[in-house]
Amino acid sequence: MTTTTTPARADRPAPAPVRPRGGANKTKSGRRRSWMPLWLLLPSAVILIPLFGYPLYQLGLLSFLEFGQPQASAGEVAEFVGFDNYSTLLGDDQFWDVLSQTVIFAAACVVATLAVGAALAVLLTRVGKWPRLLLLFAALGAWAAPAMTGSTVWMFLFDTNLGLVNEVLGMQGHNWFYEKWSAFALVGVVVVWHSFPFVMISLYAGIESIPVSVLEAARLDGASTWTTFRHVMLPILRPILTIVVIQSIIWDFKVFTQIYVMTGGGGIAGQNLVLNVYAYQKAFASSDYSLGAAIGVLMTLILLVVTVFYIRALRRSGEEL
Amino acid sequence: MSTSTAAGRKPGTGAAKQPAAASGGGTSPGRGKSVLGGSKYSQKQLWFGALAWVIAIVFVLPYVEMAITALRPKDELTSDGYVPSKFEWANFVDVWDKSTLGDNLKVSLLVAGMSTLLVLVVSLPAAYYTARKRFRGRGVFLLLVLVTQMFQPTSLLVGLYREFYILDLLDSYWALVLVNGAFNLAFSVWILTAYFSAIPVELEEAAMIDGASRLGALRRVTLPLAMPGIVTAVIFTFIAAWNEFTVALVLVTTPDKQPLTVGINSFLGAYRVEWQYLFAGSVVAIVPVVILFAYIEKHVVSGLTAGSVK
Repeated sequence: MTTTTTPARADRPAPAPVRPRGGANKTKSGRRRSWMPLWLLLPSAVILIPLFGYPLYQLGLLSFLEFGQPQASAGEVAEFVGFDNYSTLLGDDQFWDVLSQTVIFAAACVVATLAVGAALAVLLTRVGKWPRLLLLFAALGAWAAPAMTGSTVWMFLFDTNLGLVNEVLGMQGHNWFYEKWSAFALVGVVVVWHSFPFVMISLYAGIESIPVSVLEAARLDGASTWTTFRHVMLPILRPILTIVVIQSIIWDFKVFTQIYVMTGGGGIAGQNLVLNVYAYQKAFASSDYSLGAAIGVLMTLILLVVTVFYIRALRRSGEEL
Repeated sequence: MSTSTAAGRKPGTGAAKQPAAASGGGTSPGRGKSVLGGSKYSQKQLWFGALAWVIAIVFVLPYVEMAITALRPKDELTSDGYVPSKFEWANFVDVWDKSTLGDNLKVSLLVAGMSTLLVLVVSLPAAYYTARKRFRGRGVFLLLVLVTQMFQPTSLLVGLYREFYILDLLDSYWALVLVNGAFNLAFSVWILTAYFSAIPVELEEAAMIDGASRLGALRRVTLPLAMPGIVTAVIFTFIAAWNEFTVALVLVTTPDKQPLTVGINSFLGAYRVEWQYLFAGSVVAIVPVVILFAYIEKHVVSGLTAGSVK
């Protein structure tokens, strides 16, 4: 659905008949066309430029300056240091540790979210009304709730002395957050708990939208369940799947709250840091704003790459972008 | 997060329909139901049903635990019995008196409400214009809006902090209103554009022929038809702003000026965590958003999957 017809400029009404497509373009006169001037978009610009553009500029700027406590509060002049912050960062072993565990953690969360979401979506199509409603209700509660409260309640469930899990397992005194990957796993559970509903409900709606007649036809043609899934359902679901996957990647890569809350700001000796929390700690706990900004810039670049894939997927599914 | 009017799955459906047409002619479909849910599946269905119950209960369990703990008398927190001897409703009163929860609630309501209003005021005209006009840069505009959504404020935190420091708006809920408004604009613009696009312009024109003014047509015809989209946008924005944690953590440091999410977090910072108060606060934070979300859930799904689900 691309509209590549010559766009009409507000001041010079284009001849009406050239436009081939639908109602939105139909205009009876040039006067009508100019009724809605561009100023309807102005409020968006007024909001987005100062609140998105300017912070982005500041982020980039600070990452090239020497900007710490003296510059932030005592008003000392910030010195331009070129790529020093970046070379400090890239030369720091901790950064590479944090980067690699961010990627591993996010990847594991994405895979788990998709697996749980997809499995439950299929389950939803196979069960009766009451289990379905209950499952949808449970998903809703997990989806809407703040990441903050989700984190605290799971922390409590796994609490060393008071937690229900340790009580049931007879493991009182076991600290789940002491070991690095056990802590990551627990945080991952909460991330998945918060994000599987989106995958589940989207895929469920997608499966439900496949006409029964199509599946029936496949069955009559002698297709096995697997063939039906592979050659009939999957092609239909592909656009939803792509979008769900990329959205999950973007969300899980940016996890902040669950890590910050559950591991107390990055775990014992920072063992559970992910890029977001790492940037926060550098900038706001150590007052090294320029290093925090440099991490922010790197994250923005990584997100940009993912976003490009997202936009390509959207375009392929017929979005006009 | 985005929406679309385009039916993304058209090619897939088309391809799948061809065999249907090819084979459907000769065979009589018979009992149409038998393909999906005949009697021989009922045993399986029973197992699936049981599985669904178990999973749902596991997922709801955290909330049960939260509610019970919020109502547990203080001295029973360490005792063995799972069911408390009585429900201590006074926990809710105590937490209100002893902490800044009341102020936090006020800030949350204010921030979520005002940023929702801001989003609505900004996104309604933008979405209407984008839906009705194929102007130069339309794609770029939608793209830019989408990008703001992708980035979310977390990676820009240092930049935002610096900006509000310069503006002298740190520690003020205005900062939170602005940030939440800006970063939740995308969802509204996209979903409203989809809704407006689906309303034929002829309807507005018909109303105008009947004597309504342009604005009258908008108010009486277009807005009511787009209402599900508007309600979805409003509730979604409200929830997102209500749930926001990171930006508030950085930009607001005075306890009684923080929203609920950050206020609740401070219970964890204490020397000894008072779980029953923490969860009493959490219940206050969760209940409104879950109720609101239940109301719009269906629309959100179609909005989030870019028109792939219809």
